[in-house]
Amino acid sequence: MVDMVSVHTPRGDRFLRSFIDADKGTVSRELYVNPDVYQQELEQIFSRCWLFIGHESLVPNPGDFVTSRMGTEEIIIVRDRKDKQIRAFLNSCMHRGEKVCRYDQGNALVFTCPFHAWTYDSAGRLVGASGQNLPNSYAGALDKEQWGLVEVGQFKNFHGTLWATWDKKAPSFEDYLGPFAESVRYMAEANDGTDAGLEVFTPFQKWRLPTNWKIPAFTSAQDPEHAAMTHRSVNAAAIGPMRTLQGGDRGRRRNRVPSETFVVGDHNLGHGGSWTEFKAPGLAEYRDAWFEPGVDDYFRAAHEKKMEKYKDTIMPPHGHDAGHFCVWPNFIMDSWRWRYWHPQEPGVVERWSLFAIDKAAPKIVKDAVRHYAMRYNGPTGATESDDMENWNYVYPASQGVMARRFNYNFSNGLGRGVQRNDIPGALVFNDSRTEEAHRARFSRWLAFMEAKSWDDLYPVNKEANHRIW
Amino acid sequence: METPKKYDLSGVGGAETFRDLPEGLRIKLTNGAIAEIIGNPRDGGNLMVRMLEHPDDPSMVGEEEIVFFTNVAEVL
Repeated sequence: MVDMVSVHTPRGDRFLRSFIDADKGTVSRELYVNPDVYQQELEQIFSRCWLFIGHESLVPNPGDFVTSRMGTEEIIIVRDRKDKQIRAFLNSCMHRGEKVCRYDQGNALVFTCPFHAWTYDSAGRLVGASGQNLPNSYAGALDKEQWGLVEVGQFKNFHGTLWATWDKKAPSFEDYLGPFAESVRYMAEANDGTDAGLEVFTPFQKWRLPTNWKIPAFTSAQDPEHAAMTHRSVNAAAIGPMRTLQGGDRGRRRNRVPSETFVVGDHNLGHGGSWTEFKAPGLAEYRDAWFEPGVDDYFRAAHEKKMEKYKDTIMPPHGHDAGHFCVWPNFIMDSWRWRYWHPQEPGVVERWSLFAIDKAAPKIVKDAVRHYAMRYNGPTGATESDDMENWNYVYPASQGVMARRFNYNFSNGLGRGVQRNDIPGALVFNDSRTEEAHRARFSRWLAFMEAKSWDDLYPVNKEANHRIW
Repeated sequence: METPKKYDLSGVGGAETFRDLPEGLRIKLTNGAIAEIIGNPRDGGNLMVRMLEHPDDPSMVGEEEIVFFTNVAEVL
C-alpha cells in the first residue's frame, strides 16, 4: 500500500495525484517547475530506475574508462585491468568526496584523488592513500577493503548497451524492459545482424538546455504531431532523413512487409513510443538512400545478410523503419541514435547523444553516418535546433505564478487506448498519432513518486496496476 | 665531485622526475624494500611496483603494490 505524497507549492501543499487530471487528460505545469518535485524525482526515480549509461565500445581495452551520468550523479565506467569486466562507480572519493576522475574518457592505471591521494584501482578498490603507513598518520590502520569507490547497485551489459541502477532491489534489466527487451537487443545489432555489432562515435555529444528534463524525455517519443510545424523548414529544405523530401525516389526507406503501426504506452513500465506490428516474417529489401559513393553498397550487402538471418522471423516492433521509443525514464532509442536526458536543475537538463555504426563498416560509411548524425541530430543540427527552440521556451513560459495554475493538455487519444490479452501488463495500444506514450510516462511517474520501494512497483509487485488514465 | 643521479627525486625537479619514472627501474623504499616499477599512472603521487626484496616481510616478495612518493627513498 502506498501513501499519497504531497509537495509544497506557492499556493500551499498539495498531493501529487491532484496535479494530474486523468479524466480530462491534463497535467499541471507545477510538476515541471517545482523544485520540491524535482528533488523527489531524484530520490524516487533516478536512484531506483535502470538507466542507460553508455556502450561497451567506449571502453574496449583494460583500464579504459569513460565518465557518464545517472541522474545528477557522475559515474566512472571502467574496464578492469585484471578480469576485463566493465563496472560503474560513483565518481567521488570516499575520503572527502573529490572527483577521482576529471577526464571524459581515457585509460588509467589507477584513479588518484588529487586531494589526499586516496587511490583506487580499475576494480574500484582503495589501493593507496597519503600517509597510509606512516606511524604518526594512519599507521596501517586504514581498512582499505571498506573504503572502495561506491559501485552501482546493479549493472548490465545488454548486447553491448550498458545500463545501471543504484537500487539492489530493482528487478532484472530484462524484466524492467518487459516487451521492449527484444527491440533493444535488435537495435544493438549491426546492419548485417551481428549481435552487439555496433560501436559509437566519440567524443559523443552533450549540451545543456534551459528546460525541465521531462519536457524532452517524456514527450519526444512518440510525438508525431509536433513534426508538421516544428520541422517544417527542415522538411521543406529536404535535409531530413536521407536528405530527401518524404515520398521522393530516394525517400525514407519504407518497410514493405505487411504491418500496422500504433503508438503504445506501457502504463506499468513507463516505456512507450511507436510500435509496428509486422504481419509476415522477414525484412523488406534495402532501398538505396545515400549520396556518398559506396555507402549504399555496404548497407545493401549487410542488409542481405540480415534478411537471411531473419527470413523466418516476425520482426520486433522497433528498429529500421519501425520506429523509436522511450525506455523509462529518460532514454530514447532508435536504430541509429540513442538520446538521453540527465536532470541538472529543475530548469536545466543535460542532453547526451550517442550515434552508433557497425564496428565492421569501412571508413567511408562511418564518415557518412557521422556527418549525417551531426547534420540532422547534432547540437547545431537541423532538427535538434528546431526542437530546442520549443523546449527552451516552454520552461520560462510555464514558470510564472499565473502560468503554473494551468495544465498541459495530454488528451490526444484519451479514452481510445486498448489493452490486449496477448500482451501481459499494461501495454496500451492507440492510434498512431496519439499521446498514449506520454500518458504512460505519467502513470509510471506517479507510481515511482508514491512508492516506498520496488516492492510497490511493477514488475517486482506483479499485481500492481499503475495505469491512471 | 659527486656524479649527478640520473633520477634525482629531491628538490624542485624531484616531483616532475617522479611523475615520469619509466617502467623497469628499481627503486628503494623508505622501509628498505626494493621494488621494480611496473606501471606509472603519471599522477605525480603513485607508482605501481612489484616487490623484489622486503626485509620486514619476505612474504611480500612478488606482490604488486601501489607506493606513494613519500615512501620512495631513491631510484637505484
